[in-house]
Formats: sequence, structure tokens, C-alpha cells
Amino acid sequence: MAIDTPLPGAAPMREAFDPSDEELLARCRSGDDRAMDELVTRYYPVLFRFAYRMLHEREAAEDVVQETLLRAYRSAGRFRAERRLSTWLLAIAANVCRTELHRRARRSECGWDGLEERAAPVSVEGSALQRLEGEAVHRALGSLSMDHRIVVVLFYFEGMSQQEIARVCGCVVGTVKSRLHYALARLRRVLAPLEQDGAESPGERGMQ
Amino acid sequence: MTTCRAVRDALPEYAAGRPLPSGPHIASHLSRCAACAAADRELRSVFAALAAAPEIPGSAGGALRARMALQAAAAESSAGGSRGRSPVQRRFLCLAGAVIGIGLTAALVAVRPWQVSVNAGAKIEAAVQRANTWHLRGWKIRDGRRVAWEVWGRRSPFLYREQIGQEVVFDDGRQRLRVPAGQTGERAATRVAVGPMVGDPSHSLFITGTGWRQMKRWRETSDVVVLRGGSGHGQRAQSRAEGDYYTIDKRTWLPLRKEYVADASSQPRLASVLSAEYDVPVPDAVAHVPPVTVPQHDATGPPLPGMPTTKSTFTGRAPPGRW
Repeated sequence: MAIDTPLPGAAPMREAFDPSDEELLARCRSGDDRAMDELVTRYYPVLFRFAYRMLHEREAAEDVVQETLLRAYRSAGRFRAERRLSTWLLAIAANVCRTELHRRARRSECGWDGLEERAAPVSVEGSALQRLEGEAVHRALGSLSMDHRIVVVLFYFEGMSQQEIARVCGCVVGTVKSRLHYALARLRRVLAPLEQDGAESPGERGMQ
Repeated sequence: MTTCRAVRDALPEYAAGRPLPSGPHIASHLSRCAACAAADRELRSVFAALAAAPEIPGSAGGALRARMALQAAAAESSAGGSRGRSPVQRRFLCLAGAVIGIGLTAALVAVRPWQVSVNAGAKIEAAVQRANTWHLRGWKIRDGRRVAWEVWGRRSPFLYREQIGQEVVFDDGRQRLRVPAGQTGERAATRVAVGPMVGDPSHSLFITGTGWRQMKRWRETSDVVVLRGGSGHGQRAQSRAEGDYYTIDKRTWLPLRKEYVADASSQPRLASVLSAEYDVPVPDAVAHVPPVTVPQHDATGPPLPGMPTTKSTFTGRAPPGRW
């Protein structure tokens, strides 16, 4: 399903209505429905990807994106034109994810989090191995601290530079380098068994 | 001359395959420096493993809901902005609003856009009734906490299993078992003999498929339609926002998601969410009677010797002192 299809009537608008980030935010602030549609169309996908990688749960990721856009709307006056809107929105999303992860940590005593943490169902048959590997990657990411996970998600999955990540995290580039170094080292340790399994020859795998 | 320190600084980007002006120098350095080459190999192996990360699932209707939330916030702030206006301005705005409202209502009633057409309601009903299994998963606020909520159902052979937090209701069409959260001192589990039945009436929308024709259309895109029902508890909605919202996939006409917005204190908040999937295999662990670790009142067996039979629909039997 094309989930990010604009509302009816919004699609032809894009060409005629392509404001700068700052103007877009100002129009949203003034209650312009078209600007809100445009804001969501432009930034929903990247925010959803980021939130899903952080939380690994579709519904929670959708909630994070919604909360992020609402916070951005309410504090639009604090946005500075010299920043990229995507960077600012990701910074907000990172904070919302932090809050959600803290909340999850607090309720972990209920012992039923495994259900919510499950991956979304994979409909492709015969992809069990792929799914297992995917789950291992998710668990490995989940073993990182929040700050380290944010850096890895933005660097690897969003393809951002360390300078851009520093702007999102509100820290210096050296801190990002350090976090990335330790996060990748930890991932290397956690994912090593997976790599060994994957190194088996197809023949060996077929024998089992 | 490229130093090891400079190479290590740029190595994450280099190993991730990003174009770098210093790329050729780094490659040359790696061919000469075994330590940096090993670091490069390690990074590449991590990135290769990360490539197995699960794909991002679709966000059904999420963007639409985000738009609606923004529009609601804008409406709220514009309503707040009227506080600074003079009484004359406010009166004028109220009057203008009333006139516009009456006009819009008349127009909307004329074209009946709020009522899902019988055709659409019938499509949803038929689509839901074609599915043999359904799986609803999400959360709800209970006692101020967000608890996991999951429902499994199967039309034939009948199965209904609902779990909210640790509490389980299991019904296989012959017996219905309710197991409370297992803390010591809590109520006992109950087991009664019944025919197929389901729990929360709002779930019957997903299960029996009926009731969609009475829903009202709230928002619509080319892909989904969001329907709105009344209060999720069968009561009259307290406010404009309160109620159940169902996101329907217009390709399959199957409900994808149910959300309940509570608005008892004029502060709308999402109080429960369930996402639905259909015709998925019911796991064995779910299809079997759950273990009972708390005291149990079992009303499925024959009467105890010497006990009179009753004319009620089921026979009760409880160990002495348990009631």
C-alpha cells in the first residue's frame, strides 16, 4: 500500500508549492493544511525509518513520528533557518525515542515485552534464515545504549555523515566518532557468531 | 603521507563504501598497513551483518494519522487564539461559525458523506467474514499503564484467545476459561462450558464482521478510509474526539487498525491500539488451553454426587470453601 500518498487534491500541488523548510514550518504554524500535508509527505518516511530502527515496533514508530511532528509544530518558533529541518526533526525524534525506551525499561518487570518487541510478521515464505539473521541484528542493535544506537542508525541506515549526526545529537564530532567506534566494536562482538554461521558453505547448511 | 590516525578517522565512511576524496590514499595505506587493513575488514564484516536487518514494514495509515494530529493541533491553537479577541469579535466569529456550520451541515446531510455507503459497509463485512483467522495486536491503557493486548481468533474450528497484560481469556467453543493475572491473592480462574462467543463487543466487528454499515466515514485517502464509531465501551461519546477509529485498507476492505481515543477530561489521548492481520496460522502455543496456576472454579464437569441438577444453561461445580 502506498501509505504516504498525499490526501486527495494534494498530489498536483507539489510542483507549485515547494517552499523552503523555514517557510513550510511557518505556514504549518499558521494552520495551512497544505503545508502540513507537505511537511508529512517530505519527512514522514525518514522519521518512520529512524523510529522503527530505534524501537523495532511499527505502532510505536508511528506514535513517535506523530509526536515528533506535533512537537515540531508547537515549537516551530525555535527552528533556526541555518539548520536543516530534517536534522531538527531527527533530533526531536531521537528525544521521543529516548523517552519511549526509558518507559519500556521501567515497565520491563512485567515480563511480557517480548510480545511487543517481536518483529513485524514476514510474509515471504522460505525466508526463515533471513528472518533469524534479521532478528539477530535487531537484538544486537538493542544491546547498544540509546546514544550508541542513535549514532549507528543514523550512520549506517540513514547514510548520514558524522558531522550531520553531531548536529542531530547536539554534540561535537569527536563524541560521535567515539560513540560510533564503541558501538561498532560492540556490534562486532555481538554479531560475530552470526557471521560464523553465515560463513558455512551452502553444502554444510544443506546437510543439517 | 596518510597516517594511521587519519585513516582510522575516515575508516567508517570508507568501509561503508561512501565516496571520499581521500579514498585512493586510504586504499594505498591499507595495502601497506596490516593493522588498519584488519580494522577495515572488521568494520566491513559489521556492515555486512547489519545488511541483514529486517526490512522496514509499511506504515499503514500512519502518515494520514500524523496529518490529522497536526490539523487537530492547529485547530486547537486557533481556538486558543480566540481568547485574545474582544467580546464583539468573539460574538461575530461565533455567529459566522454558526452560519457556516449550519450551511455545511445541510450540504453534508444532502450528500450523506458521513455515513459509509451500504456498499462499502457490505464490502468490509464480506472481507472480514471471508477470513478464517485474525490476529489483533497492540496495547491499551489499564490502571494508568500501557499494557500489551493481543487477540487471536479462528472462525473454524472456533477459537478465541485474548490476553491483556497477564490476563487471559481462552474459548475453544466448548469451554471458556478466564485466567486472571497470576499474582498471589488475586481472584481465581473460572472455567465454564459455553458455545462459541467472543469478548469485547467492539472486537466482534473484526470477528463476525457485522456492524460496519453503521460506521461513519471520518477521513479518506486513495488507499485507506478511516471510519469512526462511538465510544469503545458502548457509551455515548464524551466529546468531539472520543471514539473508536478504524483504518480500512481500500484494496482488501479489511480493517487494519483500531484506535480508541479517550477524551473524558477534554484532553484527547490514545487509550488503545490494535493492529490486525488475517489468515495467519494460529501458533500452537495460542491454540491450546493455557496453564492455570491460580485457584480455579471449574464448571465444565458433571454435578458432584448428591448435588441437585439445575435448569440453568451450565452446571456449576466448585470445591468446598473456594467461593
